[in-house]
Amino acid sequence: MKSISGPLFVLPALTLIALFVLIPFLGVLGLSMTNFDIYVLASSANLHFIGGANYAHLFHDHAAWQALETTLTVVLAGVPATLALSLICALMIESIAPRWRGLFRTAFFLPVVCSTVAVAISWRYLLNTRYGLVNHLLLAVHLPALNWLGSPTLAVIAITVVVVWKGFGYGMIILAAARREIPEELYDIARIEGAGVRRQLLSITVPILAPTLGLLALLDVAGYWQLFAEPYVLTQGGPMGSTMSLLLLMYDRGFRWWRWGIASALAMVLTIIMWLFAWLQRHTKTSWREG
Amino acid sequence: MRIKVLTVRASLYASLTTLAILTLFPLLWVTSIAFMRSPEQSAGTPPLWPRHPTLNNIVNIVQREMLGHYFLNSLIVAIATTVLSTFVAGLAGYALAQVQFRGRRVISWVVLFAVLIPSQALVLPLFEMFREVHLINHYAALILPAAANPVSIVLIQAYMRGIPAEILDAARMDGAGEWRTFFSVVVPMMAPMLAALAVLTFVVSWNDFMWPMIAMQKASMQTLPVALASIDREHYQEIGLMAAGATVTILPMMAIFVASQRYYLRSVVAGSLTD
Repeated sequence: MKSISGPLFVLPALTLIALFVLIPFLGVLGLSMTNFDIYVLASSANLHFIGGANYAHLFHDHAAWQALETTLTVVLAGVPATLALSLICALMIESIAPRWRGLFRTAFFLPVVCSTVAVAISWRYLLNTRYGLVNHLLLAVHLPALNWLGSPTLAVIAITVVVVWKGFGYGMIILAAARREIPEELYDIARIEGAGVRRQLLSITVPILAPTLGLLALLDVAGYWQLFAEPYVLTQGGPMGSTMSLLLLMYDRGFRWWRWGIASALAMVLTIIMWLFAWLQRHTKTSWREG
Repeated sequence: MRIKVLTVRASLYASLTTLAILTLFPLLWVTSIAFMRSPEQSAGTPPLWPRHPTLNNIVNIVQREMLGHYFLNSLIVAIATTVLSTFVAGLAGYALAQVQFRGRRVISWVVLFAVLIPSQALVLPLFEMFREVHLINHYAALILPAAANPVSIVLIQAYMRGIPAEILDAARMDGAGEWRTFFSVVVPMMAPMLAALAVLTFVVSWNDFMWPMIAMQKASMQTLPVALASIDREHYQEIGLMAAGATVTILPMMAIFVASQRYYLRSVVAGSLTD
């Protein structure tokens, strides 16, 4: 009885994962080494194995490097900003009266549950050059109005701001929960020994929360690395391709130009760099524990 | 000393309140614009509050752009995905944690490997697969891939490991079969976790964008975010109309979240601390 029900219970999930995760993954890997494009779509006789040629093509493709740079910029600027904001909000919330905590937690978490497309539309009106509220405020304090989504540098900054705004509530919830696990006695002892607030923060709170922060960093990297809807709605990848993320480029190559070989190679590059980040995170975590 | 403590406390509340207002502002403002008349929206920067609130924008986007139809599509897909995904993950997570069988270890590793694959990188072969079986433009094209949810399995597995095996053994000794044990003992035990995952799955499904946009080529099959993005391409100058569309898309999720945050937040936390 036992021996048969175990596999039976696992079977539906395993079937779904095999069909919609593992096989497509092998598919991407395979496609990335073929010349699959619009001609192959017309007649499969045109399909050829071309080894690493798509990867070599990407290596010399300016758009691919630019997408990598843009995505990396959003990740490298956005993840630390998100973690800092999550941590600050979590620590502030945990040090106010318990009955007010729920209210602030809800406020900071609401952007997380909202559709990215919908909030990107809202942000586009906030950032609009002519009637956006952000420029309205800048003008009110006698600063120049900025062309937020029309300048390559500002557009990347704007998208990073939207991504951080939408994401930090998630880390805030987790860090607040982790902070509650730290015994108050530790702080009592530190206080008796004369440690100030800053010392308590640097010698107790941050070291104990470090593994949680590391894990959040990984989750944020994985999420931001898959940047897509924000630039799709806010800028369509422009101006001049400055906000074209890796996934947006994959979508563009795959579904606008039907160059599936190239698009699949992009998808593989995206996956492998994500694995690299995951490996790095595990690596640094073990060294913390040892140290 | 006393005054210093009070100042610190006051500035703490002041900064939290400021941050909360800044965070909520883009959501509140878009909701507010949705209820403004068109002169208010278009004459320079829209005011913070509609002076003469109107339902025109909501009526327009629902009638002219058939938003109710997309709303229904989203609802069908999200409900089906949630039910299927939670049930399948519940069964598998329980079996992997508490039932002895051959191959269990290997399967656990396969599930963990699947967690590491970014789902959005898989859209090209997925499209080809669904095209092959003529399921593009069918709800199944959105429901089935979303129901393959390795993260939920890992979470349930971790949660079920914390439950002593004796409780389950006692049920089995009473002669209950595995199915009966599952439904009458296991499901009630993991109900809080299942509820949490269900809310999480529902929200993720509702907000999903890239794959639904690719899989639903026919306009009448689109989900809310996909329809919103394509209406946006045509009408992005009509601030009131687009604000109404955004509001209709985000309000249900905000309501669900506020109503179920006790469960939802638990699953978010569980998802990150069971490393």
